[in-house]
Amino acid sequence: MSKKIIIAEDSSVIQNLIRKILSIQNYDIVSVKNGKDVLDKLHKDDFDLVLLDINMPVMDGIECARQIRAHSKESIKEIPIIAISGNAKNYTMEDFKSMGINDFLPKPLDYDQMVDMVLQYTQS
Amino acid sequence: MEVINKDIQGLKDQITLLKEKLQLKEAEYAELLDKTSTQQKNLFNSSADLIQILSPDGSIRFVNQAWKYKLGYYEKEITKLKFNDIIHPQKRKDSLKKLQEITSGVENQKIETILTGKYGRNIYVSGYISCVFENQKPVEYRCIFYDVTARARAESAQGLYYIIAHNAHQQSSLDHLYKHIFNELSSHLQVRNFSIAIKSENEYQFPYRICVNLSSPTLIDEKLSDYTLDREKPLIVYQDGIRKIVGENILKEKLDLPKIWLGVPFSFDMYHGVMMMYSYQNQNTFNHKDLELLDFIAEMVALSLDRDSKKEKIKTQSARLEAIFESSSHQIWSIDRRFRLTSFNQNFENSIVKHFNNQAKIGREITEYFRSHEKDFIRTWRQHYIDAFKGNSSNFQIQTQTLRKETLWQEVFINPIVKEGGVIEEVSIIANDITEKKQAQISIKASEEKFRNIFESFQDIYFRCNLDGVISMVSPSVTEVLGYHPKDLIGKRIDKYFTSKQSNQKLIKKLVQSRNVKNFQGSAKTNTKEEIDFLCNIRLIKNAWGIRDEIEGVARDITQLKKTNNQLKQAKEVAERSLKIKERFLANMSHEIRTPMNGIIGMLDLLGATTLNPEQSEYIRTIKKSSDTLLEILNDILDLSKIEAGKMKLRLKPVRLMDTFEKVYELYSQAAQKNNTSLYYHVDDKIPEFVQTDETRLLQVVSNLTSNAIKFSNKKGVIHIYIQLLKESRRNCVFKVTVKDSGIGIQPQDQDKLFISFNQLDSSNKKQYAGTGLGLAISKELVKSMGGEIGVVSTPGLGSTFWFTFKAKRSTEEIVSKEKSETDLQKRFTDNAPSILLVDDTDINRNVASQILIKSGCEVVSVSSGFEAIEMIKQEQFDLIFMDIQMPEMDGVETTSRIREIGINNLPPIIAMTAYSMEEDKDRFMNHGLDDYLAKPIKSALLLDKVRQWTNFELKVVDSSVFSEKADELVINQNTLNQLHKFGGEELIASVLEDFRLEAQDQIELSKTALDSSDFEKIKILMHTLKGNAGTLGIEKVSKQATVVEKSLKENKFDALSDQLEFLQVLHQEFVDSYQNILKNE
Repeated sequence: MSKKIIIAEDSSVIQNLIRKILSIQNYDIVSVKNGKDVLDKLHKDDFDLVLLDINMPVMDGIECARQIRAHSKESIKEIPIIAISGNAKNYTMEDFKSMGINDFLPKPLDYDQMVDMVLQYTQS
Repeated sequence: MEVINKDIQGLKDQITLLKEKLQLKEAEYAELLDKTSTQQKNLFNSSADLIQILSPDGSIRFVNQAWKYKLGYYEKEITKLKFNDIIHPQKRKDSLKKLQEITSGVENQKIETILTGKYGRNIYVSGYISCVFENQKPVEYRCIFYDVTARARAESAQGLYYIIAHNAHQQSSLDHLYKHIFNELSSHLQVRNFSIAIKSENEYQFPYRICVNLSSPTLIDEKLSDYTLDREKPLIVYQDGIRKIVGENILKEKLDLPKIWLGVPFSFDMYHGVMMMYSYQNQNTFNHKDLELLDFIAEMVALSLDRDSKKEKIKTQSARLEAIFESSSHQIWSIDRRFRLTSFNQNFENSIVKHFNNQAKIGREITEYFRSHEKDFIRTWRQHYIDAFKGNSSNFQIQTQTLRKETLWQEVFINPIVKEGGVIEEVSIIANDITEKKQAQISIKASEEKFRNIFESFQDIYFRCNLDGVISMVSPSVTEVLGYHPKDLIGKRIDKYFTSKQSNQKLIKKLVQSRNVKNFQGSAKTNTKEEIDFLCNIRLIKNAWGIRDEIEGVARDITQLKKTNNQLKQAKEVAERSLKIKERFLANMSHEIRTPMNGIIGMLDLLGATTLNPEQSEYIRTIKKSSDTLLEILNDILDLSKIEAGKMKLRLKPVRLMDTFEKVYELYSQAAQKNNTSLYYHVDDKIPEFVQTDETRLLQVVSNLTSNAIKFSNKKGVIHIYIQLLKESRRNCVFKVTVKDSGIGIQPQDQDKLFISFNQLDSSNKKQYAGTGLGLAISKELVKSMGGEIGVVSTPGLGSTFWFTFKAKRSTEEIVSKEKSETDLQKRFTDNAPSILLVDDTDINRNVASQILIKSGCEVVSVSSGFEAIEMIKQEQFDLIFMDIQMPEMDGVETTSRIREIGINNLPPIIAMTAYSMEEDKDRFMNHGLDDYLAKPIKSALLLDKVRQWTNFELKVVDSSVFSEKADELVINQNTLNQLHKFGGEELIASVLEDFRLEAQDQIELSKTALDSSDFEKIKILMHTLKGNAGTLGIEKVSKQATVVEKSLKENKFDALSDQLEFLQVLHQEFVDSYQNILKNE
């Protein structure tokens, strides 16, 4: 059974791009445009991974990650999160980790890196 | 009454008396009759005639002794016989008829018939038959026969003589004759057994043999024949005789032997034979008369055989003559005194039809056929005919024209046919068509003349000599070359004139082995003792009997040629030597220049890291650029000299062709953009992912073509690089790389010159385009070594398309990963500053390298020889060694082996440093214990990369940013897009770019709107997203400008925002134009 990934990205360009690349890699993709939608989806369904843009309207990635990690439901709380960011605020890896984000894909996106990283987090 | 009574009594008495008398008389008569009968019978019996008395029913009532004897019946058998039993079947009808005639009253009938005896023997009889009637009825037939067998036989034999004699003449074949003879003998003499034996070379043949006793062996015939032949006379032999002659041993087999055997010898031609007949029944079957008859027959047969054999001979002879007459290609005819044809053969007839369109006919006058011919021709013939009739034979050749105007040559023999008494009534003519021979003769004569002319005007020397070298023929040209007259040379030994004697033996040996020798070189002396060189082709030739006993040859004076050749050779050697010197000089110079260059470049790197004012920075940048160009030129020269020396070797490794083209794009996309040129590359889908090729060389060729394309595209142009798979076989793929520009183009007459070394099309002083002009020449050689071709198609003013092909095998990923793992480095972990040993004999190099390393925070020990290096290693522990390869006394390779031999624990990696030209020898170093390789001249970045690769030390960054060119952004970085290609192909690219186009347009417009309402935060967010999106897709210029806008907003510089957004819009439009272009050309 293919792994389910939720993508949160407000730019439809990147959203489509990631969705297409990962679909071809045989993942089941659900894409949303803000952090709030991520939480809604997680409530309704089980997912294996969250790809999270940091800069998003309504609820940004930082807040979304915080709420996931603070969630009462174990399956939601434990889900791996990969941040996607142009990193305008120059967060370090430590910063991300403290926010509960497992790993980080910088923008501009390196597709190979993305595919490798997604595989790494969905395999375990 | 009494009287009457008395009378009556008297009468009665008289009657009684008479009765008594009568009775007496009757008795007398009966007695007489009886006596007569007995007498008669006795008389009959004593008669030699055959008497028989038959009853009317055909049964035999009486026969006399002679009859019984002749027919062989006993008395008691006779009463059982009927008429039919004793008459020969053929005569029964006749005989019966006679009996009937007699019965009807004809008296004393004469009869001739044949009686058949008890044993089947025929008795020819002649006699009378009478019939006794009682009461007018026949009661008895009386026959008196005379035996006329002998006479009948004689008559029959007479007939036989005639018949056989007649047949012997008439019968067409001997078989028929034999058969006929037997039939006659059989019917006339009742011969049942008859043989003809012919003795040939002591063996008998039986051309005819009939024998009732089928089992009777021919041996009996043969023995008796021998016996007869010995006695040379006709013989009659009876059974006893036969038994003796045939011999006792054969008799043991209880053979039936003939009772009587008659044999007569005969002979014909060279053969002897015996004709025989015999009987198994009765020895009386034959008598001497029969022998005479047989003798006569044998003579007849002999005559026939003789005639037959003669006939055969005559037939053969005449067949031979006929064959001769008809078979030869000669025309043969004969004429009589009035010139009329009396005979002719087929060839003559054919010739008349063919040449004169006429029919040959017996009796026709021969001259009629030539009516239409010249009078001379007819007169000549007539004269010869007349001569022949006078008894003179003649032989002549004559030419005539046929009706078809062809020349016909004939050779003619006319001979008189002389009959007995010297009479000549006919002459015979034999003519042969010799036209071809004659024409051959004529053409031989012509060709002889031609060859004589050639022979006499020949400049080379033609000669013939025997196997001992004695000259038999030599062309007059010898006088000019050697000064001797041909007649002085004929009969002399040819080797007398040779000065190169030692090779003669070899020459003869070779000649005998291979029958001809070509290009044999030797020397000979002239009559003035001068020596000349000659080149000679000789061969053995056959004489008229097919034996190779003569040598013919053609010799050419090559003294002058050889002299010239030697001069040329010397000149060539000088030229080659000087070329080599030039090449070596160039190579050496390049190499030598490299060491100071190493110093210059290395030091420039260090200088660039120091604090410089803008003017100084500008100067240093110029020096660096010039140094790099100079290095490139040196590399080109070295490459070319290596190629020309044949030392260029391809190093095949699994290569991902996509990577290669990404590298090219990376290298040249900036330069292209700087030149207002867009660079695109297109990789055919069918290209295998990995192939075995030399990436360095492939890259060199593509780079060369690409940099040329950029160089010559000074207007706003487009360059496309394509790679296609042309064809694929089991062994190889053939690829075609095309570099198409829209530059100035090349004149057709210049296109060929492009690929020649040191050939720049613009060789004027004010050269517009920089370069050594070696690039294409090197490319051509490289492509050749990759099994491909290179070429150009160009239209001046519109652009050029350079292309090349190359061959490469598909490579599997397995090999690729293997190769990769082999090159995996094992880093040495060190927490402290790495300690590095630097081994180089050149001060400059040592200085440059150690300075760079020290600046980066390494600890460096430098030594100037291998010996020192070994000593140093024994004393100190190092993390890495840089080893120069070319050192005097002990080179780097040897030093490394010695270091390894020492067996130091934890020996550091050793990296070879060597000139670029030695790159090909990399494997050799690796095999000799060196771990890695660094090309000279040392460039700080590369040197430090090696340190980073092999140690885990974080090096200090040496700031050489003074040299880093401000990299211009590309409208679209195709390499980035190509990354996408592998995930989703063109479709993905197209859809993502379309998404981007729309969203970016929105973002720009939204930003403009936000600017109107001074919602700077919104613009910042929009620009941040746009920056990331554009960057992700390699839309560099847009990304850069979005960054600029974002930066302005962060810095709260809002004045230029409007212009900046406008520019962003322009750049976006540029992207839109360009991306269509990319999609179109994918």
